[in-house]
Amino acid sequence: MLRFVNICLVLALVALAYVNYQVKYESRGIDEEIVSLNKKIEDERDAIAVLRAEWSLLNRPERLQRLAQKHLKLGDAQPRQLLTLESVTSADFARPPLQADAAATPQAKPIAR
Amino acid sequence: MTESDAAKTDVATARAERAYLARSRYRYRFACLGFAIAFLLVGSRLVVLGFTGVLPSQGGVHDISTTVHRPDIFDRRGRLLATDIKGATVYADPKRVIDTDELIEQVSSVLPGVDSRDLRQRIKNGRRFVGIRRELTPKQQAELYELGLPGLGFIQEYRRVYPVGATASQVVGFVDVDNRGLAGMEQFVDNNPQLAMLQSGPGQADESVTLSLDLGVQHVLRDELRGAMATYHAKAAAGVVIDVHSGEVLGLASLPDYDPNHREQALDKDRVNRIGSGVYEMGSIFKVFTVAGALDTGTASLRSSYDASQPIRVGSFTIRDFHGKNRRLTVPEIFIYSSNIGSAKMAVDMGVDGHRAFLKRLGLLTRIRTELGDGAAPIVPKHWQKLNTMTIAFGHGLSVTPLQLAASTLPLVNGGIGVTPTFLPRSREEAMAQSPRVLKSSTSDSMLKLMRLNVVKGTAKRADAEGYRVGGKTGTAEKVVGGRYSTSALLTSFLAAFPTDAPEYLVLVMLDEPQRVAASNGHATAGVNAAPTARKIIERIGPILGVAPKLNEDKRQFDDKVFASY
Repeated sequence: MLRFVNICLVLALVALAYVNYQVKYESRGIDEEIVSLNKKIEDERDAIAVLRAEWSLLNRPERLQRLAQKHLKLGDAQPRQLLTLESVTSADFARPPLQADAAATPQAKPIAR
Repeated sequence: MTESDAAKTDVATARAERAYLARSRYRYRFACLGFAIAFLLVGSRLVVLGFTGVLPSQGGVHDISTTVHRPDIFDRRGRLLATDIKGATVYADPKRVIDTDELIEQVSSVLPGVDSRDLRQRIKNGRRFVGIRRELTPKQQAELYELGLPGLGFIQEYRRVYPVGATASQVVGFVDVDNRGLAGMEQFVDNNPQLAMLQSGPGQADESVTLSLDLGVQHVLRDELRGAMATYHAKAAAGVVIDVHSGEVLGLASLPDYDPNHREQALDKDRVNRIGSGVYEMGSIFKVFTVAGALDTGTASLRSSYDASQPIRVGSFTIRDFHGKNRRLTVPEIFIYSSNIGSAKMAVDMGVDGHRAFLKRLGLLTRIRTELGDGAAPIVPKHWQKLNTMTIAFGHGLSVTPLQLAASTLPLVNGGIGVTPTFLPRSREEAMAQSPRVLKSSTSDSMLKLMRLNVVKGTAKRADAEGYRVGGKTGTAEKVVGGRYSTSALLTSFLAAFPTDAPEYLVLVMLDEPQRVAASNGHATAGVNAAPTARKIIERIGPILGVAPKLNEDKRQFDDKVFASY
């Protein structure tokens, strides 16, 4: 009787030791993964910061103005080209659409507030 | 031995055996208990460890940087003005350097400009850390890494980058090599660390600060001022755009300026922020304060008139008119013809003390405080006498910063509320509710009419941006050169508010020593250089700021009203 119990306990001990080892091994693996993921997140953050700075650098008004003056045939918006949304009536919609020759003059656009 | 002896021995043995057994059972139990306690201790410790989780793992993410991480700075519409990116610093560890000469030779082949003698000296004397170069580019870092030299190491550090360059430099400021703010909002952010937390909200990973600046307005302002500097051959130009109700500064430029990515430029004396830290005698712009004072204190009305036919002589000093009419002038005429004689008389009517008290109420006699730090102190006459009152009435004898002048003009155009300028976002309602009333609202209405009239009929005709109902006042001041007022070195400026029927924004433009060029018909007064510059700025920022232009019909209506009222 006692021997049987002892054998059972020894077997249980071995089994538990195995499970324990397994869990520990897995957790160490997960730990390493966390570290490497955190590192990756950090790297991505840095990359995002660089990209945002670059986006801002490329979009700075100074550069856009220079490029627009060089490549586009557009001028500054004149007051008569600006309308508020309230002042647009159904008559404006009834007008025929602008022709291709009018493409060089910018269309009137509503002011966004 | 007798039998009884043997029996006695047996009995004794049995007793001893029993006693032994009893003792050993006792020991056995004691041992069991001991082991049980030991196992329980170990077991419970395991359970505790199992529940409390793992110990902090080594080699995780930790800050390897020695420089502080700064919050990003955005303009009012979320456009990036300043951010941190990571850059490497290369250093040498003298304990691990094998061949100093080789190291220096190899390093200078990648990094030109490394002082090899200085570096050798430092490696010889240094302990464990000899910094060689900060802010490496990724390419340089890779090349140095490829060298494979023992004793070289890298640390990652934050490096401040200003993507928009010089465009917003006067407001944003710059940082030193250790990423500490040295000027502008960068310094303000350092002194007020709670700001970044408040603005970005709790729980947000990236702290950020939003300014009142609008990058579009800022760019237009700087672009047009640069154009004006070139057109009129001016030595310097400066300008500011402020929301008249909230006091938010939407644009502030002072040329020549510097690129904060190259901070050594900022040390140049010529590149100071003229708007905030230079004091100037602003000339005729001051007549807005003279007229506003007379109207507000009731010593004059729009219908009053003053004799401006004769120059005023005080001792050896003579006050003359530049656009002289040699007759009696009404208050609106004094304003639109910019009569020095008339405004001097108006100020004298207010009394020396009354005039000074009014300027003090508007904040023109004390230093102005903003997020950019203390402005320069105004230069106020020590003994303020009648002659001082007369000259200050047309803008000579009292030097103030342009930002202060703009701030003091806000109540003149926003209905009389003394709003202070700010570089942080603030709502119009909040600013108006928190600020004290310094003028009657009727004074403000009259001033707007006069300023509009001045653009329609007076000295500032060239400032009339079509559709934006600009009102303003020109100022041409003679600079003091060698202790005397010079007639050739001028400081011209233009103060504008638009749209005058419901004012929203204030624009102040200042040109330092514009020349008599063909573009300004051979003149150099504010009406031909500062005023058209302001017009160009307003034409371009109007659409950005969402001010709806009104074309001719409306303009005529409003202008009729202006004429009818005077």
